[in-house]
Amino acid sequence: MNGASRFLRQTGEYLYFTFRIRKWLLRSLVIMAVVPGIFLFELPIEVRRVFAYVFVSLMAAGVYAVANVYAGSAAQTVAVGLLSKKYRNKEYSTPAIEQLKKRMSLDNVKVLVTPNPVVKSAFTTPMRPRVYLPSAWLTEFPSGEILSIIGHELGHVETRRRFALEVAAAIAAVLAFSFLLAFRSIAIVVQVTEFAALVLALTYVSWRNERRADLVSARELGPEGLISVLQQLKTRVKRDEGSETHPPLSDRIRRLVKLLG
Amino acid sequence: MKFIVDGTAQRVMQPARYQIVQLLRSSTTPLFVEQIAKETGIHPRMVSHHLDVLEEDGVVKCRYEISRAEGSRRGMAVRLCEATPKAMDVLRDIEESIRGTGV
Repeated sequence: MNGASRFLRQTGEYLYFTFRIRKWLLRSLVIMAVVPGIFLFELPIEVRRVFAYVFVSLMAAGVYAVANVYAGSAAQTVAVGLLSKKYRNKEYSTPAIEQLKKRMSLDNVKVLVTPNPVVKSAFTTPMRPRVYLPSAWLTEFPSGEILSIIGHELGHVETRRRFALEVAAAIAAVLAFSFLLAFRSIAIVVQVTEFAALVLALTYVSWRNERRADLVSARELGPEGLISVLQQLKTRVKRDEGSETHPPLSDRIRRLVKLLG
Repeated sequence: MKFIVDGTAQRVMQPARYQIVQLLRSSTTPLFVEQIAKETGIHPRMVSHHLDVLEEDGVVKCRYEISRAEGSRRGMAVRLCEATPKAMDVLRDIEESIRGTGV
């Protein structure tokens, strides 16, 4: 590892914002834009200056923190495509998987196993109907639990259109909100608020989407397998607080345990 | 370290499964699902799921027995499970790997 990449890695580790901090950074940006932001022109110049300093610092921290997270999750999707020659993805199929796909009327979905080290968890590509699994998981989890993971990912494929509609609705709501704000504030405040509010709205939509996929897996295969997988994954995370894309594991486990009766 | 390499140890390391294997290892008689659930506080459906996984890996051996419930003349099929010698080897591998990494 050369000096520059070591420096970047160390800085990245030092400047890591937990999800709780990221959430509050964005919330304070929205609150600042709404409360003092709309009275910006009426405020005295000294107050306006303080507002600008605080707002810009929060903006820089917020954009950095959130961009870091989204870059991390986008890296998986990009890496399986770009490095497909170096790390060959293999199609993974068992009679149980084929039966599940047939039952869910999702025969066109391909399940692929990838040895790519960037891929740390199972995921579905946003456009093509493909489910990727890290190859190490095939030995770490029993076959029944692998099927539950695939059930969850197929749940994403099944509810893809609903998710897209919800994303569109979230974008529309944020744009409407910022349009109202635009009458009373300056452009940069409106734009930053749009970004912060959009990330918060997408977090809400994304969490709903994950819970729905968990329900689909439980509906098709029972909740036992997925509960077991999530419990095992929980032992590996430092902080179980969720992220912009996924709810906390303990919350997902609690919801699935309720289904056991 | 054979069971670390083939993944059996990772599968047994699931917190609930590890608890079940430890319980079955320490028990002198085979236990049935309800007993395990009561001892460990794990939901009976989850216990059944974990026993399926452990049985598939050969860590646990199960058999069915018809026993009569108290105050009833009807028989009930209960699943009796006990740890196999493989369980001891897997747990030894796990303990060695934990000691080796200094966790």
